[in-house]
Amino acid sequence: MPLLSVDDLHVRFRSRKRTIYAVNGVSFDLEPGETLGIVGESGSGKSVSSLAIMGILPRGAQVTGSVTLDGRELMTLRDAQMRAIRGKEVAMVFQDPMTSLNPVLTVGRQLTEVLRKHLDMDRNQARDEAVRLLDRVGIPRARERLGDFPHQFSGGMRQRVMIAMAIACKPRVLIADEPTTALDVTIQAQILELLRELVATERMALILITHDLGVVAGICERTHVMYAGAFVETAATTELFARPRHPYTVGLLQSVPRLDAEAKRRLQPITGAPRNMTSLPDGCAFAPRCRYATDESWNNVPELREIDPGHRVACWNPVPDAELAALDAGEGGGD
Amino acid sequence: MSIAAAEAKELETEQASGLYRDALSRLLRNKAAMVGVVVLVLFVLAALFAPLLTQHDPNVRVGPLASNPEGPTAQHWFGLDEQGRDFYARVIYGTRLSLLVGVVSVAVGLSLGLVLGALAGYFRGWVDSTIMRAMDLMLAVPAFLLAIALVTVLGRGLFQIMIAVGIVNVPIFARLLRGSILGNRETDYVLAARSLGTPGHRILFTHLLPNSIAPVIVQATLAMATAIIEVAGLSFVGLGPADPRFPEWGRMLADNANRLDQSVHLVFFPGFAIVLSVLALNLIGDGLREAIDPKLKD
Amino acid sequence: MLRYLSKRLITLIPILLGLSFLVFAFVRALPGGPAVALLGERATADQVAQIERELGLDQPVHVQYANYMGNVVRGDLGRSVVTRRPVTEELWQRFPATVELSLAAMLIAVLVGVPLGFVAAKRYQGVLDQSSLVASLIGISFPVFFLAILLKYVFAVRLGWLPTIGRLSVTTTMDNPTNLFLLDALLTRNWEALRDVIEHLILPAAALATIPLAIIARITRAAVLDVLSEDYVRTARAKGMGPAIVDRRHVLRNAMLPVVTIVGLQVGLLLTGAILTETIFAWPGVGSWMLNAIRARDYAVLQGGIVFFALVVVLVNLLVDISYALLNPRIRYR
Repeated sequence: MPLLSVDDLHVRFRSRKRTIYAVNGVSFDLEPGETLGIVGESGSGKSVSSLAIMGILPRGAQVTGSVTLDGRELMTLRDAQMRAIRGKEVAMVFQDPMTSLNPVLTVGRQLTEVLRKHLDMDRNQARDEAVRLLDRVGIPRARERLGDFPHQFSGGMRQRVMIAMAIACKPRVLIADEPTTALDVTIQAQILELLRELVATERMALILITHDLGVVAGICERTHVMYAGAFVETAATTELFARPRHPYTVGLLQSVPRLDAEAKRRLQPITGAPRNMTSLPDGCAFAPRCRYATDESWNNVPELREIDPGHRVACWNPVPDAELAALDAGEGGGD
Repeated sequence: MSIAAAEAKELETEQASGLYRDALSRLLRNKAAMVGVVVLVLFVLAALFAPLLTQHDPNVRVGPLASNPEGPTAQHWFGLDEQGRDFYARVIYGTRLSLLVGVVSVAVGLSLGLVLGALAGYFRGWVDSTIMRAMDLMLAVPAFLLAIALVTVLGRGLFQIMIAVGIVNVPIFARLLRGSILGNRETDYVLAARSLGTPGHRILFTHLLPNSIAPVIVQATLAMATAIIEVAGLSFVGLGPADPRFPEWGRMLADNANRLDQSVHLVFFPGFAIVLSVLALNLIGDGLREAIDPKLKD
Repeated sequence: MLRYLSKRLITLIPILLGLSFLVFAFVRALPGGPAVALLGERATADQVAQIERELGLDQPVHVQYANYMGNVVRGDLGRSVVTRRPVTEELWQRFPATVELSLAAMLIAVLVGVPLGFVAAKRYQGVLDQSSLVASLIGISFPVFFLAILLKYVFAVRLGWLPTIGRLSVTTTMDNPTNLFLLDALLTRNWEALRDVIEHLILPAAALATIPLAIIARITRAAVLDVLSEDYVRTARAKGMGPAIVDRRHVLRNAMLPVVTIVGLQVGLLLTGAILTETIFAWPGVGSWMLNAIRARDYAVLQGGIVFFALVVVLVNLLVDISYALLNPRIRYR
């Protein structure tokens, strides 16, 4: 049985003027200790999905679907019950460590509060454990730093503190939502390395959410590509990079400049802009930006179908191998 | 159809219809603000057409002198005051003074304040420091106290009172404009204009000032509200306009604060006249603030 | 933090100097000239001449200013025209009453305004929120003296529940070690007097508190709304912290920073409101003293009152800055 199972998750935000269809039918499983990547651009619904799993969506959100942890349905739990799970079984690391830490509380306090709440430790036990955690995530002079405030740490250090807070109660699932986006590139690598290491030693499952393909390449076993609130392609990461099928995935990979490409080769950006989410699409959500769109794409919503073992695509006209090779070699028209 | 055109069609949800039109439509939809506008218009009409609204002269005695004059009757809607004058007429005519002071004093404060703020924000350096130090000094004294001091020195003429109340507002407007200019100076469009060689005063007038207008309008409305209260307060302590021909709500309150057991109408009507006019201005000012930047929660 | 504080203290000096110069200029600008103003209109020519010599009016301005400052620092603010007593002496006698009234009003404003603003923010756009917005707008539209009159009318004249004159009934006696009647009654355990004091304090304090209350409620609401949408509140929830803890430790502690600043700024409002309110309730404080001075053209007292108020405001602002620095770790620690 999978550790975490999400089935047909829909999230809508209703206001007086309009509705935003943020997540439209997302399903996936997560095995214990597995690392999963969710890739998509801003507004694709990836963060909203994770907030829905944690149950901390803002007011006005309507969620349907099922999320089970170890077979236990989370959607029907009352908030008081959910609180026992948040931070303990499932934990989250957010994007911007600058704003995600309480500026008026010491780092030690923010760590011990979660330890004392979930693990019932007394003050001294919690402090000792907090020191151990800070040390674990690579913060030097941990014991002295307990009394420091977030603004006294650098960006990378702050993110380490966030990670320490998240793994404090040894959660079985860690959701990292764009954990490196707000950091410098060199720090990014360090944080990813830390995550990778923690996953290995603490035996945590990890869901890594990002818009940056480079990030999932090094660390995720499987990757889902998300567009306009739904998955459009899922595969083992190596497979996804080697043989992407969905035009969007192809576009994403093509957009990244490559060191080994010829100097003159043009970048192939994806034309158009992300879809407006105030209505549900009649056909494939990507059709307006897709080079390979057919009549079917415009009229019917494609569903995820397996085209290779373990590799599923939601597309009426997935990119064939030959085309991939051509694109790789730098040919193929751009608009 | 090209992809770009298809894109354009799909994204055609919200057309920006211009900054001002957006704000105006938001304001019009604000019920509280609209109530304020209606009430204010009524007051303005009362001030302008006072003689048409009552056949009595506010300064002529039509009844006896009494220490506890009678309240509202069919003939005298607001009753009589202690000098036997028709109180309804006095309250209505009082609108003129309050609104006049409100408008003129804010105009004074605004013009002076804007000039100072613009100078400080544009030239910076020692000009900025000096001006802002002076503003800080003025703000260190509680506003009403400053008004009292100014009126004491300048005298109780109507014009002097308007200047006094106006001066109290100067630091607020100066700060506002300076802050706005400082905020906009470093924006890309200003830098672009400068790199094109646009002369300084041009930048000031065509770029910086127009973008600062909105909060100034909000503040002007609110300043008018405080001006009305301040004048009433000055009258209350005996520093209001000395000319007895101008009925003033604050003085009515001062004169009759001790007649509450029999003649409460003499404080009731002028008092609520103040409250309603000030409330109307506050509602409008608040509505303007919200219309300009709805994300701002205060 | 020390650097921050010393910077604040340094800017204090020019402000104090500037204020003293303003008051000095004020006295010199009074109608009739400073001598007549300080002595009163019925002063004899001899008295006027003497004062002019004392004030050194024939000497250059900067010497006059130096003399003036020397006097002020020594505590000599002149004599009241009406009572012939030194201004500083009367000020000393009267200011506890005003302090007590202002503190009571501030207490009411904070204890009611902050929770009101907090709940309004939590139930954003709910009934309480919208009505509190309207109510606070109405609150700031009332001139404080009208409110005082209304309260007096409703609770004393009509209902007769509460007294309206002074701080104590004529029939009540009590010892006054601190001249803060509330404190004195508590200290001497004079329960009867305590009740009397409270009855006298309620109406004026409520009248004075209304405008600051409305403002504090609005600011608290805005601050709490801002904090509620901050990322760290989301983080606290994601850690599984309960709503009470999130509110107390994460929301309120951050929201209180701007609120504290605003509370401090209300003091100026309270003091000027005191001028108007004390008169209506015959409260023997600095405010009613000032009002009588204005009416009687007792400019020495007026000058003393202005000095007092301005000093208090400046000091309170300093206190607010200090407490803000203490509360905000970003300033306290580097």
